[in-house]
Amino acid sequence: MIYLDNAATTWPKPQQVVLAIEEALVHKGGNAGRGGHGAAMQVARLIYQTREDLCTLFGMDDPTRVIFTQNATHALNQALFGLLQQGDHVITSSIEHNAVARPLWALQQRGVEVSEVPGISGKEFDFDAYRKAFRPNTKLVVTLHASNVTGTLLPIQEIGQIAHDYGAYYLLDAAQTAGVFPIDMGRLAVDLLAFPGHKGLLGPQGTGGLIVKPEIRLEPLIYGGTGSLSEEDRQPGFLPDALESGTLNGAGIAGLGAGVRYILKEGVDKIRIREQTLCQKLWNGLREIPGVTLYGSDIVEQRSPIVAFNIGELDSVVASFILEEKAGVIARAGLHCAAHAHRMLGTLDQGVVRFSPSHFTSEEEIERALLAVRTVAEELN
Amino acid sequence: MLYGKLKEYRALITFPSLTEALGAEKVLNRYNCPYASIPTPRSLRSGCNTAVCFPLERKALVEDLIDDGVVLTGMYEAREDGFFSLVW
Ligand SMILES: Cc1ncc(COP(=O)(O)O)c(C=O)c1O
Repeated sequence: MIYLDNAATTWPKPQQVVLAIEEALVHKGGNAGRGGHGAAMQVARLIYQTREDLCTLFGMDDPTRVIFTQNATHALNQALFGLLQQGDHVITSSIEHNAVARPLWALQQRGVEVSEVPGISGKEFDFDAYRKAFRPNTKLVVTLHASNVTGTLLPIQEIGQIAHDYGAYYLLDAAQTAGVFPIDMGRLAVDLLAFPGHKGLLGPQGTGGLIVKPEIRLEPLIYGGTGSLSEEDRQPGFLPDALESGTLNGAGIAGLGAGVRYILKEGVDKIRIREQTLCQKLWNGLREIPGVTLYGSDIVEQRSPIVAFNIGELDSVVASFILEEKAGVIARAGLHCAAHAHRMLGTLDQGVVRFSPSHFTSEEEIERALLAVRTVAEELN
Repeated sequence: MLYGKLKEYRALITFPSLTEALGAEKVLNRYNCPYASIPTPRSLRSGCNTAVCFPLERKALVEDLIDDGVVLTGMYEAREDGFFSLVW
């Protein structure tokens, strides 16, 4: 199998991640915060260490403001439903994942006003339209950092700065970039950062989180037991407890911590450059194949490590099925939970085939994947 | 009644949440201060059911904890006849 779907979830995971999960499951019992006994404390300490490591990676210094969630979607929902109320206005981009588009649609039904900044392929973010979109009641701007369809990066530094100029918060969906691009919340105008644990951070599925800057208060999405203030019916107001009801994914979070420490040791830049080098090789190879259409910027540094393409008019789902059947190449096809982005690209019908290598992918695997595409394209002609 | 390490470590700090207690453990580690995490005495229940005790002679470390951003709900000297707010 040649696994080229790291944008959906990374695989393989570093051995350290596997060992950390095993260590937690085999040697560390207990439920963090549920009972003060040694077993619960062992797991609690693992979870706390992961909060600290995430702070180091994202330029924050307060581990209590790292909220663990099941995935990026959960984190985005917590941020959006926790912040926006009837009468508030929110601005978003035209290439969002359904993890943002659907909560916003649901909020719209509840009386939240939503504006989408239009984009065209090659010019994904229109600053004039963005500035014009602000209203007196604009409370939040939410965008992804990189498109999960084409990898296109949005200018988050400027988007955040302008949001602040207008007195709005900025929520960043770093699903495609956390662990691969530097994200320094100490310097960026990002107020809330949503990230998955299972993609670039190399942790297991079932992990993710939301980092919240000081002074921002969110209504909980889920209420319940926190192990603190148990005598009160009212949800605790302090973080992380306010937003972390119910048992956490202790072993998973221990694995996530190991993933983050692996990244800190290897270096985000080294990982990204390796992945971009592989993407450049993919792009160059695909460009040579007659009938292949590529999407997104041809400058590899302007994309997260994703290469999106189609083979002739072939339905992308069929193309990826054949790639797997004939050559064991695993790619993601279809709409990638992001109809908005496909509408902009004009690929709502065909979808696109998406290759997303990891830094563990070998040059040889890339060559075999290219050969497989060439074979399919030749058979099609 | 004093229990566990509290019999030996007579300074006790309490927290709003477990995450703060874990942060305190880290700071105490950094200062090479011995400590033990113990169930919060019922009479001091403030939020978090885990409290941290450490040697009374190192009580000035409370300032370092606060400087480090750890949120405390109380600091006490544990005596046989009860818990007394720490002052120095
Ligand atoms: C841009 C973007 N946002 C959000 C998500 C959702 O992430 P998760 O599956 O962790 O909820 C994804 C995953 O594909 C994504 O690419």
